[in-house]
Amino acid sequence: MRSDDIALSVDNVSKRFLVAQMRPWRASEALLHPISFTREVLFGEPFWALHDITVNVRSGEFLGIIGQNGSGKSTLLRVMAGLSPPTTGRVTARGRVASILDLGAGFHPLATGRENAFINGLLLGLSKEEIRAKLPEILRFAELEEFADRPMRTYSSGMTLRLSFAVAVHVRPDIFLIDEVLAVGDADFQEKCFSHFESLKREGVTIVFVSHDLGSVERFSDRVLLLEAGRISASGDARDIVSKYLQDLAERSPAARRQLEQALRRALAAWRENDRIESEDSSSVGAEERS
Amino acid sequence: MSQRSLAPGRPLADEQLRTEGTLASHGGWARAWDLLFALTTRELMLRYRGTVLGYLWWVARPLVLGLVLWFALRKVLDVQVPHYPLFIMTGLFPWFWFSSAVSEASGVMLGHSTMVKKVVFPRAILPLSSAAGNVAQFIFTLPVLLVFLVVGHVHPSPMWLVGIPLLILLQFALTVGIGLTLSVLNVFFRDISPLIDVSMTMLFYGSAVIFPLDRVPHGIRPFLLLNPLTTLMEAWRTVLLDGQLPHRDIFSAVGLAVGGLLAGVTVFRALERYIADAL
Repeated sequence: MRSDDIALSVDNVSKRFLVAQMRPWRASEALLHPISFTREVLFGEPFWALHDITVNVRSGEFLGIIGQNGSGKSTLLRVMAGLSPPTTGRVTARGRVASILDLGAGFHPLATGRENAFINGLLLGLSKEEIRAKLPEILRFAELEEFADRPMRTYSSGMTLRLSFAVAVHVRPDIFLIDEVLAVGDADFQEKCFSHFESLKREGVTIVFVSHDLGSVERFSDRVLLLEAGRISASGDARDIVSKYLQDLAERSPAARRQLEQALRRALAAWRENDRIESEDSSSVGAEERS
Repeated sequence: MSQRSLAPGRPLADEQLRTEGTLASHGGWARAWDLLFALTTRELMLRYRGTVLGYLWWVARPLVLGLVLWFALRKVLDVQVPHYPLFIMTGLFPWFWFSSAVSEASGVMLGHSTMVKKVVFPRAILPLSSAAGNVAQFIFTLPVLLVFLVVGHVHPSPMWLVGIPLLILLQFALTVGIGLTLSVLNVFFRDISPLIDVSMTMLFYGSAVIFPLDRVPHGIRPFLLLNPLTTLMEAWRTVLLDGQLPHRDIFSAVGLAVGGLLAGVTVFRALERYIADAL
């Protein structure tokens, strides 16, 4: 792998949170209990959210990150985005980074969709001329043209997602970080997002995708990282890692096994359904051709 | 490996990712300025969107408090100060600017916590936009104060053209400095908010907003003069009521403004990269 092919490099990154940082950190506490407070800051057991993470993401690669709650997925993404300084190690990104880490972060509930899209574009680093020129296209992509002048508080979470996603992809990022937000979109929009990812990838855009939707992760990732307690416990081919994760889960608890069985049943049903639709599609296409 | 097939016209610079999201790192100053302007106008426009009285609320606060104080101090307690209504108003308008700028800026990180935690942008934009919004609000309400003065037989003075912009600039620098400092400190020490509430009450009476300095007993006056906000308030009166440029007393206010700004920038730059983790 040539080094100039790397879009995002995470080099030996660890992230530590002091115990004092994880509780409301108040001056009153330091003043009222100075000794125990100081002792805790100095000698308290710190929490390591990430341990020695090293990962190089190639340009145009789709990297999926999976793992249980609290395994460090979101922290890693925040460190990659530059929101959270790593305690040790370093993160280097080439080009413009855009991230969707939360639904509608930075949106104002009383401002209209159009106004929020405008500010959001500025927040992600566009100039006001650029965002003004792209607004119609953004609203069209989000399928929100008729709602553009309604206040954001009237938007459903799916509509909010559509708007933030549309703005983020129109920033033309070189690196695109997404944290588990697509789940609130309906199937149509998710499909649209994923097919848009495909075209972004072809243009060389790097995508890092955190999700519990293992089906999508497996389907779209070129490579998957499995995080466990802040460490990379496995990394490699999407199908291998996802099935390893599922096995781990099933071994760990009966509840997880039940969930897994349900998920498998659902996946199987969806697969059959998909098959049926596809065959209908092809037959209808055939019918059109004949007529 | 093949070269990246990027869309044309998209420059790609090798760039060390800056973790702090500083002003300069965010696509340059021009974009930071666009963002600052857009956020400020949004705040100003949204604050009273959906209210019936709209702009009138901006002037209502100083006017109503002035009316109450005039009634209590002049009509009930019979305080003898010449042109007392004018005196109160010239103090209250700049005071309301100062106090709302300070208390608003101090809560600005906590108030936008999801945005600060989840979006990379220059953090200084938030306190700056709050300070800018408050100075804009003051400038928009200034005509009301000037009309009030003229109706009260104060002759408009050519010195206004110099003195007013000068004092606005000074007080703006002061509110930016204080806003930067308090907005970031408040993230780490939540005692800042109640502390501000208490200090504002003390400052209100300690800055000669509603009484003339020469009524203050001799033993206490030097302490009031140590408070640079007092000289700023006095300077507003010198310009607006007497039509003169503020005299040498203003230097402590200048010192306060410059010092406050420098302190604010220093504190902010030292702590801004930890804000997102601490919220």
